[in-house]
Amino acid sequence: MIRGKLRMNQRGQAGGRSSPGDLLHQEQRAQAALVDSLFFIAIIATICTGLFYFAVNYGLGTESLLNSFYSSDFAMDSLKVITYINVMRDGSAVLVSNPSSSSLSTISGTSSPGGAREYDYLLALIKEDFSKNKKLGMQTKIAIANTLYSVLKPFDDSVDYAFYISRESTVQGSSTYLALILSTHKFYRYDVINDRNVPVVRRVFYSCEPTNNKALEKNVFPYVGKIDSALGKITLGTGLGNTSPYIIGLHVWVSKQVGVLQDPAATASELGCTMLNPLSPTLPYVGDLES
Amino acid sequence: MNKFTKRITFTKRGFIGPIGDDLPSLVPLVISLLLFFSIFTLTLNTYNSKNFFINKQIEMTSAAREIKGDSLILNLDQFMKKCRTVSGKNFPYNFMVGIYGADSDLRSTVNDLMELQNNGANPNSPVLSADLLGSQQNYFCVYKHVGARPFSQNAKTAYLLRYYPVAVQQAITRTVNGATVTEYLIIPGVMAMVVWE
Repeated sequence: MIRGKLRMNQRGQAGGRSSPGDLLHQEQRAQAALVDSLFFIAIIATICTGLFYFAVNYGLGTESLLNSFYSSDFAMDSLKVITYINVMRDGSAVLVSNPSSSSLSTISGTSSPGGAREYDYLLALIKEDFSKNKKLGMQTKIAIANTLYSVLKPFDDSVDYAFYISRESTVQGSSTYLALILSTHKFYRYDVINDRNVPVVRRVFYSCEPTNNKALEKNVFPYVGKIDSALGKITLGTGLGNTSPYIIGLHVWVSKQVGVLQDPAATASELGCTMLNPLSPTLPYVGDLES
Repeated sequence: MNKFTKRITFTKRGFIGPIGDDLPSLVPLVISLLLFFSIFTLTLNTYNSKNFFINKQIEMTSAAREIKGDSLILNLDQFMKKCRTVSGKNFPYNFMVGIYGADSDLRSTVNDLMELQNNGANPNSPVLSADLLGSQQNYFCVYKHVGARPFSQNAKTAYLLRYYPVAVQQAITRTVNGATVTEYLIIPGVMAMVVWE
């Protein structure tokens, strides 16, 4: 602005008769105008940098919030579906695209003496099994694994997950898990196909019996990245009309190769897992790879 | 004469007129104005397109929540009613929704939904079907604005595709003690939703 005023004064003087002094002002006037324009470009560059920064970053927070809404919706929907759907009484999943075009009796598997296979809600199986000895047997755990597998099968390539039923407890220390099913992708080896190394990876299911109630928080969650969780509450009968509140939870994360999850069935692992795949024909077959 | 000599001296010193004298200062001025308006236009366009995209995602999320409800689809009639409810609210975009069995291959979802949109019902589609008013129909609904072009999968069509796990109640027939009975079975499924402009 100062230079602008100076230029105005100089312009005023230059408007009159030229003199040796005016000649000097003409040169100064040109220099002042150049410096003014350089100041102007500096200001514009600053504003443009701000605008560009705004353009690049605008909406990123909102988009990540919307994506987190979707992924938490996804986890919650999956948990709801797990609690709604029917499973066969023998623990295998009901997977028929269009049941109206077939009948249940045509689904492969063992039939009951009546000729028709029986089915029930997964929660009914869990409650029934729990009422016997306040534990869940291996068949019920296989039923849970089969249900998880069938519900999340469309997303099988991309996600790993952990499902648990846990006693509501604020006491730190010993395990409160009634069931903990962990499902990950296990890398076995490379096969050479068409001169290319192709990794052999299968989905494996584990039934875990951790020694403490922070096993997931300590051994899994810190290593798998962003986790989408859904929690629900159920009551299980403990006999004589008494009930206990239990929490069911589903944690879903994008599948990744994590050392601690490569073999949770190892004896040194705090998770204390047993692989379920060999125990159920409807889970992915790993017999050829485990031997 | 003396004045004329002086003017010659001026020219030699580089004076080329009122505009010509300011030419070196006009160049950065013009560059900065061009820079400013370019960045301003870019920012405005980015702002508008991101706002549009965010709005589309919000609308899609709310529509999907309304259609899937409590993640339990009891029958085709209920599903169609929910679709009509969303489209009846003047949903600002076009959408297609289909429900697949959990054992379906979802890699061809968009093509499959597009085919259903173009040909109506398709008994060979992996989309689940059920009986509605005496005829077998797919769990599929489409909503288009008046005058909107049908969905086509090309580079110019910006669309959003999302999947939601749902449980679907399906009627089955089975034979119990020699008698054919109809029972209801709840199976896992996936609701696929495509939203486009």
